[in-house]
Amino acid sequence: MRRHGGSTALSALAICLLALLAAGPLLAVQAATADFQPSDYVVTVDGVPVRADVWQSRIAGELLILSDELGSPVRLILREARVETVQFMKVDKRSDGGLTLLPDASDRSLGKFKVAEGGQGVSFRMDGRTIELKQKPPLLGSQDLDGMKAYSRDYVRLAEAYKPSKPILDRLRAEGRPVRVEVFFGSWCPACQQMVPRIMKVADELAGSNIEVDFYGLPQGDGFSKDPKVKALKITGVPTAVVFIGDREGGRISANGWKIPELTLNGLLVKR
Amino acid sequence: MRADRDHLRRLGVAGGLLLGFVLLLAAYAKAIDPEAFAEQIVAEGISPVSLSFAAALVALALELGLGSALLLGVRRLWVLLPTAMLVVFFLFLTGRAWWNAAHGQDEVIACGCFGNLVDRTPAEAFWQDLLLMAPALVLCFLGRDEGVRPRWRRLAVVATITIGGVAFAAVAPGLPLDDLATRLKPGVAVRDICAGAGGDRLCLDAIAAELESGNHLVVIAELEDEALLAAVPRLNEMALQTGGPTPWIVTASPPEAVGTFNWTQAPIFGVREAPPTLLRPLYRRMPRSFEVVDGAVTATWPGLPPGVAAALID
Repeated sequence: MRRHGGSTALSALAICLLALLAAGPLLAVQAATADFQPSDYVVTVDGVPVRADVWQSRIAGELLILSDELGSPVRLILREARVETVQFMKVDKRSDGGLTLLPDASDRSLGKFKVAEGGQGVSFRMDGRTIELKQKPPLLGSQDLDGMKAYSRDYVRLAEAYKPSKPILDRLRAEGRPVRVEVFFGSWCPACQQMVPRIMKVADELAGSNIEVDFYGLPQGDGFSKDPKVKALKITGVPTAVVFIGDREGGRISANGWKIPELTLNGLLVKR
Repeated sequence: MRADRDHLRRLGVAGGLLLGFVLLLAAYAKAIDPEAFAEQIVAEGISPVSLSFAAALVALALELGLGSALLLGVRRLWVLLPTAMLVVFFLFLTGRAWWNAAHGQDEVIACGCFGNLVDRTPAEAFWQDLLLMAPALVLCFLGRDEGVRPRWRRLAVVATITIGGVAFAAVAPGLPLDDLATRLKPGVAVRDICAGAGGDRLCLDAIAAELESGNHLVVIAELEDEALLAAVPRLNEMALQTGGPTPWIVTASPPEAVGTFNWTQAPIFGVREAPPTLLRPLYRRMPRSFEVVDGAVTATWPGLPPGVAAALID
């Protein structure tokens, strides 16, 4: 009897272990897919911008929109071009700033989304209204560092990840002449998304020195070449930083110069 | 008088050898990637797209025929005059590219008579072509043959080289010559894969600084490519695996295509845009893939990487 009971317990344990082993990958995927982070998209309802928080899970390839205007939370499953509402009770905002979508959160299918012309966003129908989710409008004109940080979480994240050379920063901090670095960029330009955060970090590190870094956002398309600053300084591509030593141009940071912008800047200052 | 003629003849032989060698080398560089040459012909406005490959083969035949004739010592006017026209045409193209680049006009796809294999600025292309070809051409004219009919055997060799070269070019796109025909091959450092000059010089490690360390698998592709779209789930899986190479796509597709790709494919791996001037010399046909370990290319593959392609077949 005792023996039989022991065998049952062992069998149960073995079954549990096997179940755990089998479910392991599924659990891992579930855990991975449930993790959402805040992102920088804007939402419009019938063309009118609305207050909304948009969360993204890169691993799951999903976006989650939370907005009072929509009522229910809306999930976009990008790889299937599918939209659905999810149960509000299954959305768990974590204390670390992330968001977890609990299993079996699906509620109501809203069909497929359409990618907008130009690939700048998507749209779908919900309760007779057209919902659009798109990239933020481009950041245009003169911007300071705080404006850049406020515009894009990716800028902040990539700037934090960049580690400028400390000895070169020390040399730049010791620069006695007034230096102004004007960074021309396009918030729509993928290369700028990689390069500009580097000089943002350098600008942060050089705060209080004689080197001042300003940013100037340019539009895409015809507006680019028509911009008066672009014409005056003959900017042909972005990102380009024009380095002014006093009132005179001392050189530019472009192309390979962006790999280590502080090194390029120091090189320009040493030459002059 | 006779001594003078012998002297001129020797100069003619030297000029013919140099110019013939340059033309044959240029023809070889283009014959191994005739599709890139055809694209260049379209970009230069010489031929419409539909006729560009045929135009490329005709141009190659001309270069091969004239180059081999000069190399074999055939310096009659009927060889020299078309050669002169060809040289003038090359110099016109490189000069125009130089002028355009200097005035911020059309982006130059490739420079000069050596196709995509050689990294030269428009100015370098013009001056190198001028210095390589013009003096040699003058020497050929000074020491040209008059009244002596070339031996038929030489003409047969010229014909064989021309026909053989054109036939090779016609089948070359299907031959495994990518490492030979492009600047992307095992052993090359990503920091040395560059385009442009001076402040405009751009290298691959500026596009993807992450390649400088660790193990990476890079696919050069157009984002609308069906084969690539089918491979995205496998590339996503690879991006999630620990210990394996990190996948990347490098593309010259326009920002609109990148946007659409990101919305519909939601890649977990990185997609980096590179200008066509940097990417075009790295492939004959897309997609092309390569492995990078600590900043150096260790392997290349036509199409998708083997692990990804095999997963698609399965």
